[in-house]
Amino acid sequence: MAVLRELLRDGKFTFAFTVMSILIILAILSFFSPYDMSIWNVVPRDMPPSAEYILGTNSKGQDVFWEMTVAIKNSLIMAVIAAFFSRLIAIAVGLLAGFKGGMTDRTLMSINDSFIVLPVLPILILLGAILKERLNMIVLGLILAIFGWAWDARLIRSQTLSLREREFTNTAMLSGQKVYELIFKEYLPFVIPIVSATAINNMFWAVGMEVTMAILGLSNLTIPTLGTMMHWAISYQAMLLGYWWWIATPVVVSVLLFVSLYLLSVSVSQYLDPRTRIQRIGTAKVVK
Amino acid sequence: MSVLNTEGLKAYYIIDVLGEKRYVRAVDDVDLEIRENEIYGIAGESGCGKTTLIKTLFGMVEPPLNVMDGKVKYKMNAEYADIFAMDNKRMREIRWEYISYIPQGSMSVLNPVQKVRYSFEHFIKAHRRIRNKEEEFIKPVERHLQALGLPVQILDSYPHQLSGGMRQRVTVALATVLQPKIIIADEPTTALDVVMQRGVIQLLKDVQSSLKNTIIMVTHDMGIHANIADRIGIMYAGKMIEEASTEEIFGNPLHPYTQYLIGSLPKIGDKSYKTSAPGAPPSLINPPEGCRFYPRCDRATDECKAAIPKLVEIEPGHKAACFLYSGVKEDE
Amino acid sequence: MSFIKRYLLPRLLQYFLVIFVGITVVFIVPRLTPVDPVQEMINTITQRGAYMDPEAIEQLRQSMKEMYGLEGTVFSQYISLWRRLIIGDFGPSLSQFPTPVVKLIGISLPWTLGLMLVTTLLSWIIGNILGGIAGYFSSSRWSAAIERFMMVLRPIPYYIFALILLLVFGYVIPIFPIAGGTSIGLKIQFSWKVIADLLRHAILPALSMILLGMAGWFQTMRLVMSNIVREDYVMYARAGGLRDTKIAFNYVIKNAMLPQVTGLALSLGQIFGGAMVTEMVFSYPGIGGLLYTAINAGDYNLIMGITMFSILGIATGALLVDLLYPLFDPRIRYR
Ligand SMILES: Nc1ncnc2c1ncn2[C@@H]1O[C@H](COP(=O)(O)OP(=O)(O)OP(=O)(O)O)[C@@H](O)[C@H]1O
Ligand SMILES: [Mg+2]
Repeated sequence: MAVLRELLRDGKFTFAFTVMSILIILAILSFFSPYDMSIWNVVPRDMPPSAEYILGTNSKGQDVFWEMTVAIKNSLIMAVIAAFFSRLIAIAVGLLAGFKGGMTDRTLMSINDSFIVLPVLPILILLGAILKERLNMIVLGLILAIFGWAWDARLIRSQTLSLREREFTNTAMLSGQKVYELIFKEYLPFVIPIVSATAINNMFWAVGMEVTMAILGLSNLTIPTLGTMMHWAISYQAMLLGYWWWIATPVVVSVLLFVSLYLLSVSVSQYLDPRTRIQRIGTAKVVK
Repeated sequence: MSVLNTEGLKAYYIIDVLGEKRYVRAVDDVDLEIRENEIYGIAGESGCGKTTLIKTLFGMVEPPLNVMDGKVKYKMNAEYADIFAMDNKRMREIRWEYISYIPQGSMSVLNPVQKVRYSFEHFIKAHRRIRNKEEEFIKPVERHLQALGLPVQILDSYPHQLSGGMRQRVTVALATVLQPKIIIADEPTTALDVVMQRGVIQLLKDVQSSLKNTIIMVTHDMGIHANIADRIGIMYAGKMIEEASTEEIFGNPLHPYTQYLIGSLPKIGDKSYKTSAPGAPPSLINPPEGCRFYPRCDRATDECKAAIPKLVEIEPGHKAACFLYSGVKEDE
Repeated sequence: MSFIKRYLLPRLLQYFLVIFVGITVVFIVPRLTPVDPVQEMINTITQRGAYMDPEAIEQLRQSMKEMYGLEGTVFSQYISLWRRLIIGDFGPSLSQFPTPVVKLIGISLPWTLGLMLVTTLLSWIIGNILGGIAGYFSSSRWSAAIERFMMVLRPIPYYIFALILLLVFGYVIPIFPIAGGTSIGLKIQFSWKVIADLLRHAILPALSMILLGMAGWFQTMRLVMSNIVREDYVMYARAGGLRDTKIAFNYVIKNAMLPQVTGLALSLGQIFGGAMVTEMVFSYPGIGGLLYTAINAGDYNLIMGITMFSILGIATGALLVDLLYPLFDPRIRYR
């Protein structure tokens, strides 16, 4: 809580935190949706926003507001899955490489760098083209996890390397502590903060990939997500026909989501960087 | 005649410990008078604030370091100028022309991606107009290097191609190339082996005797002080606790801490280990009340716990801050 | 000698490793799914309305299986994938049968190469210079202003940013062409008219890539910068009274560039993804545009070919950047 209070002193964080909370509340609202999103033509089509349909309705005969809540929920779930599993891989690879060093380190880092360099988008498109409808949010999250761990494994490795230099590693090794105990008790507490800052980054990337894939028609288009909402709006020419509420809703929501996730990751990593902390305090006016 | 003096200088690091502001009192109420044409040594154990003092003397104060109080004055054109009252432009001008600096750990002060030649060129061009490069830059620099006994070829090397000792000597050459009035050197020999150390010390000595300028040199190695310094100031936990000529410091140390410091030096023909002060140096965030040395001092009295002794002249030219010799207290 | 052993050889190994990992991923992941790509392709062809009698379909299935090396054990399939990669045979395109995939890629390649080369270089240079200056003078007001601008720009996905540019310049202020690589019917030959036409068509896609790329480089540079200004040699140059601009360019930026060059090699894959998306939005005739038509036509073979080809291309690009690195860092050139 103290951490949250300090973070809230940062204007960027406060903004991002507020937006994110609203989006999460919207996602939770989806469970109370009066409509089933897999059924079309439950409401009049192409209605502009009104008291009855807050964000209007679309050409599929669905309520845009409730479609949006489900879309936010699905996109967030997918992003969390991608972030969670990629973190598992990143922690395992990063700790192992940093701790073992030598040949293990070099091999793992070469593989790691290969994953960083690989052009992910064409590979995802290839997978999307094969899987199509079978590409639900869970599968997409898992696939993104396979491609999203490498940058962070690098970070975790360098953190581990610097921890190894510290006193307690030697002390612990000499006192015969088990390696995995050492890793879990001594290293993980240092690694978790990095992981949490980059997890936000990773979610951000995953949502972007989902939107791109869906717009290209390469995911299960019957599941409402931010991406598939845009896909339908674009393929029904919502913009040309003047149904701006239909296309604007997912675009605005995703821009808000991108910006708030991004600002969250920036302010959290700023908070975690000890140097900027000193700077913040150090430049405070000195009272004589 | 002093060239540089300080009055009640206080420089603290302001840090954030779990959301709370803390002050590291690295330089706490220091008065100095550095004379013309002398080598002034500053000694003290690691972490007592030597580097911080030196940086403040040079005016290089950046967060988290803050000058809380006091003045640093340079004597320029027969007048004393307060450096914290100068604007950046003036400050920039007097550096290297008037006062130069050899920082601690100067192994890494040379830009790794440029040849040594360009370091010289940039440092000189920052202060002198060079119209004729050959006459006004290349030749003088080569002469300077030769005078210091350094090979001229180093100008065309990258720093990583030079040995540690050579890099250190290049730094000395760089700091003296404009013949400044004051040179500040922070542990210029610490990372070097004994042979290299002797070379660098000799170099500094030669520079001083030919330029007749002032060198302020920090090291915790008393042997080097004995070799090079004219006067020595002993620092303890952010304060100056004794100051005297080198002979006096070694021959007649007054402060118990100085006595420990001198007593711990191995002497020729004496194989026994000398006692160094027991215990650890105090925290600079919460220094002890009263004399900062009393917890480690075997001659401490109740007075030492209650008040801070002031650095006062005990014998002509010999100052100490200890209630054994004078009852003068610092007014808090 | 030691340069080759210490620098060149590891880079070459890394190059082959990237290709190996990429191709292996492309091979394994589809096989983890319950989908039969041959069946998928046949579905695509029959869905398009062409009637085929069952016997013909069976024949097609057989020949395709042979062509893709789907016959035999998994291991021999894997070997055959490599063989096709090495001889550069990705088979025919399904939607533009029987044009070979390699030929289609060959036609699109110059467009993408040109677009990426120019935009990557420009965004890298501009982003680094701006980020360098902003990081060096990080306490000034305009530095904070640029920082805020980039902070909003950076998180926008390529797709949405390109779409916004398309809307603004295509409909609101229609001064640039919004689609294609040239005007329709223009014959490509060397003349100022053709070059001007090419440039006009490239402006919007290039602009969206440069702006987004620049924002990324700007921010990493600013971060790198904030570390470098604390380095001993920078502190020392400041102690020596060097001018700020001199310190910024000769001491800070020159050193801060090193991680940015490495960063360039590492981000080529991402930049390529951005180029694909941008080309799709602006119907640019490069690889991205080709990929888009392949997706719409369900041309699995073309998608596969483009994917494998981009792995090769990006790995090569990264290798080239790595080979340039010693030019910036004397510590690698001279030991
Ligand atoms: N950037 C900083 N932030 C906070 N505290 C600092 C910082 N730099 C130094 N200190 C603290 O200030 C005190 C004095 O440090 P200083 O570097 O001046 O010591 P020193 O006498 O030069 O030691 P050494 O012999 O090890 O060089 C130390 O307790 C140190 O921990
Ligand atoms: Mg020091």
